[in-house]
Amino acid sequence: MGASIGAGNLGKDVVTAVGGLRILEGISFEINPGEAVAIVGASGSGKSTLLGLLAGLDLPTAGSIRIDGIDITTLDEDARARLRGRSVGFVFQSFQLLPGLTALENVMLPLEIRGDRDAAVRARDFLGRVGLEERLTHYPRQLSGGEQQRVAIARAFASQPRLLFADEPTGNLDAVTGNRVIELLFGLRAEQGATLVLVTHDERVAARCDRRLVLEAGRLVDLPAIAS
Amino acid sequence: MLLAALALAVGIVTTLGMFVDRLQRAVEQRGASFIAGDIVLRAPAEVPQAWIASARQEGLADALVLSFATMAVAGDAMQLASVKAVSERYPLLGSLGVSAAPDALAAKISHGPPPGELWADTRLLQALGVAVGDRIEVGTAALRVSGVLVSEPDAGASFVAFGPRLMMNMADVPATGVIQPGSRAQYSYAFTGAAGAIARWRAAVEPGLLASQRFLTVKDGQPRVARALDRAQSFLLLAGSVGVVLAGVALAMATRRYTRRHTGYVAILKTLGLTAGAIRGLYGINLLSLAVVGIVCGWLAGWLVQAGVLGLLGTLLEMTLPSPGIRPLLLGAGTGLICLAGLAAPPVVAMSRASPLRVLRQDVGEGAFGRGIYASGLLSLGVLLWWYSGDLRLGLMVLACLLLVGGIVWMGTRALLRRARVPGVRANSAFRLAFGALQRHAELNALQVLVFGLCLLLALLMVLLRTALLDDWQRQLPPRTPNHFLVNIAPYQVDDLKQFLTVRGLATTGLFPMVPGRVLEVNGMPARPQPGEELNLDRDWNLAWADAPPADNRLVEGAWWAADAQDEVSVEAGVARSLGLKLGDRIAVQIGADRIEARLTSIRELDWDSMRPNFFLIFPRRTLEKQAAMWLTSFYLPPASGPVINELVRQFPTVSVIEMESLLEQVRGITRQLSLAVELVLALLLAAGALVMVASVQAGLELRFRESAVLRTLGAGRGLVLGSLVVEFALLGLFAGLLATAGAEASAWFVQTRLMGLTPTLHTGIWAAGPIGGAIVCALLGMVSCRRVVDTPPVVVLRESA
Repeated sequence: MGASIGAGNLGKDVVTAVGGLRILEGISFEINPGEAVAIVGASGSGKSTLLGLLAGLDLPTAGSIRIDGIDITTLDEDARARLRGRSVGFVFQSFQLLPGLTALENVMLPLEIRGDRDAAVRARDFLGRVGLEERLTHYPRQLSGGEQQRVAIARAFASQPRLLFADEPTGNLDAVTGNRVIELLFGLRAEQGATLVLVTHDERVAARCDRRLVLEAGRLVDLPAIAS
Repeated sequence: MLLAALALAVGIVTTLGMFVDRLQRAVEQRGASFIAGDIVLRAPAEVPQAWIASARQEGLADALVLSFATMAVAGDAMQLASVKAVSERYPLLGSLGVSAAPDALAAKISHGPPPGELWADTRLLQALGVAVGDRIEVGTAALRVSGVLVSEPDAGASFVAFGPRLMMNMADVPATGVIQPGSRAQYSYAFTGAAGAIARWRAAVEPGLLASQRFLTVKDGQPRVARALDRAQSFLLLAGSVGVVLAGVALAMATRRYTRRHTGYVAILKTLGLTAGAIRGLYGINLLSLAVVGIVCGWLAGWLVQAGVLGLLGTLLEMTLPSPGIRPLLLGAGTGLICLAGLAAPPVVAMSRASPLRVLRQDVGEGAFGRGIYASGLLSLGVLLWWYSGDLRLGLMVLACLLLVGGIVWMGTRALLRRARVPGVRANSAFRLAFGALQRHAELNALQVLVFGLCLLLALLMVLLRTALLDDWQRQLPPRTPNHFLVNIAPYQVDDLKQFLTVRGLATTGLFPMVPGRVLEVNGMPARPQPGEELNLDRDWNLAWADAPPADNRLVEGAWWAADAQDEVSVEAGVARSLGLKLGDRIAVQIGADRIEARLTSIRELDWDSMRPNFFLIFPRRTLEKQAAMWLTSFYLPPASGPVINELVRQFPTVSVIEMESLLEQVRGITRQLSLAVELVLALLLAAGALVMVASVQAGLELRFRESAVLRTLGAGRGLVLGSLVVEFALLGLFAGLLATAGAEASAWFVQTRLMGLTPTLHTGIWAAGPIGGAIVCALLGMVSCRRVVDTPPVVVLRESA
């Protein structure tokens, strides 16, 4: 069963060389358990910043973020990390695999962090599901972009998260490879019933989600939900 | 980063250079003050005035000290005094300690007493029962006591002080009528000036010297001090070389990072149409401006640090430090330029050949760090070391050591870290995560161990050498070193004197008879020193007889004689070598009218600096007993022992007392100062090493930032990540410390035996301290440097690395 997310009057300022900069302002929404939501908007509209805040990778300047009713902005860094380890999976545009680890080790990483004893077995299983059973001992630099993203997807799902964040998962891939990755992403999500929040530029990817959140210059723009 | 490293390199060399330069010159001056001049001409009578005139023409300053022994008289009291009549400019170097009363604090004064006055030491005042303000007669002149003489810079160098000291003005000498043609007196002409001028003048005067006239430098005057100075200078020189190496390491690391980062830029510039030549020009100008800014920053930092440190601690040194010369600045700038040319330019040139294809594919050859570049880096380091030390052998040696140690560390670490690669990250505990990380970053960590190891090695080496030096200086003059010699003890006084000393709780080094005699023949042939050896056989030596070998003598060959032995002789090892003697040789000596022949049955080693009676030749009692002998002993008298010496002189008026305390105190003083200087330089060097280590950690920080962000995104807590970093660094430090300990032990042995002439020692202590210390230092370093890694929100890092 997926987790619910809520944002209340979220804001984020950063300090730059030329002064303060408001990236996000007054963002509020609710995402139901098991829902798939696309965050869309132009470059620089604050999509990735919002995703980072929702995942607890950074703290907002104002407002609250609730995951299953718990306000994660009141948790300390370590508690947020534990929460991520327990119930959150990630897929990034630039894959973020550790270069010194093999494909298998990269997938084992989150399982080992939370202390799973059968990490290797499960990692192997998930790499099989994304079609990389032959590539277990390869290092990221020996894999193509599509293969690297498939490793990242296996890593995200191996810990069976209740909440999955994806930041432009097809941004660095060609159309054919991108499609394959999206199929895998949505297929595995359907199997596990996780809540999905993804940032994308790709209209076809956004179209596969239950609804969209549209960002314009750091504010949420009202748009009627489009049923898929 | 390159700029910072350049400034660091220039700063290290400039700081150490200035430090060493100032201390070295201070130490040289301090050494010269021991003979109160850079060079002293000593003669039994006045030397031709033309010599003095030519010295003045060369721009040398001069001062004259006339030493003689005469009776000092005050009313009914009389005392044989060692008189020192000094000219106007005495002392050219150093200062006199003079107080207003025997117990008052001494002031530092840089001239002798004015005409009509005299300064006397406490012993003389007590012996004569006079106070400051009273008059003392010297010969036919009566001089007023205007001060108590507490210390003289050249106390140990001049004429052995047979009696208490009296210092007067040269202008009063004629009035005393003591100095007549043929009087026993010693003229010491001291000179100071530029080294070149002194050398020229000496070369001009030397051919005309009589046998009784000779030149004296610190080396001849104070071999003990000269040796200490030499070793201190070796240490300072080595410390400077180590600083150069550290600077080179810092710069090489920064260059590596710089080229890595810029190879991508170069590819972009090339796709935009820039030629390799234009890129070289661009980066050439870039490097040059970096050099200028880096050198100026380094100079400034270096000057500030040394001025600050010496400003704070200089007073402890009790020396006036000459202001820093231009050489350290040149050295610093040269280091920067040579390092940049040798270490940074070649990779930049190589970088200009980077393929533009890199814009599209990151994995296209980096084209930066080839073998040629390492070779050019090493070469420039070698040139620098050579320039710095002015000693090709030393430069090559340090370079060879570096190569060897570096090679071993690099290969060893890589082999160790690459082997036994176990799949998995083992991310559930800091320990296992750290072990995994050690292997994952084998390449980076091998470099880190290399730098850590090198820094720790150099630090340990300098600590070992410093300890060896300090121990050696300490050993030379242990506490309770005998500080008074008693000579001219008549045989009938021996028992009474023994009792006199025993009653006062003073232990002697043993009483020995002295019989003047001359070595005539060895195995029937006239005695002659071996080629290349120096030994004066034309004067009487003090021969002794003894039932047992003196306490601190060690028999190295043969055996000591039985109680009733006769016609045997024991020879000191140095003399045995100079004369080419071996056991069983027959040695003939002339004592008065007698000729004695004895068989060499033992060879002794002894320490001439021990302040004990020492003898070249010792015979059995029966062989020398019948010869007329005067006895000799030495003993330690605690400084505040009251009028013991005056009592002794009153009871045994014919016994001469030679006081060595002020000389010993001076030697102790200079070794104390040298020790402090050595410690200061060491501390500075350790700080430089730590800075280089910090710089090396910074080099690997990007990778660690990214790993930490991913780990934390995937649910690892800060504690786990920081813990694993600390453990990883501790393990690196442990390993580096172990390698460094082995390297330091080997290098210390080499330096001690080959460069400093010290006895090598095995340092069991550092085998525990090195690795553990390395682990602690590196763990702390890792923790401090990497705190930022776990404190930055993961999203910031991930966005930057994307």
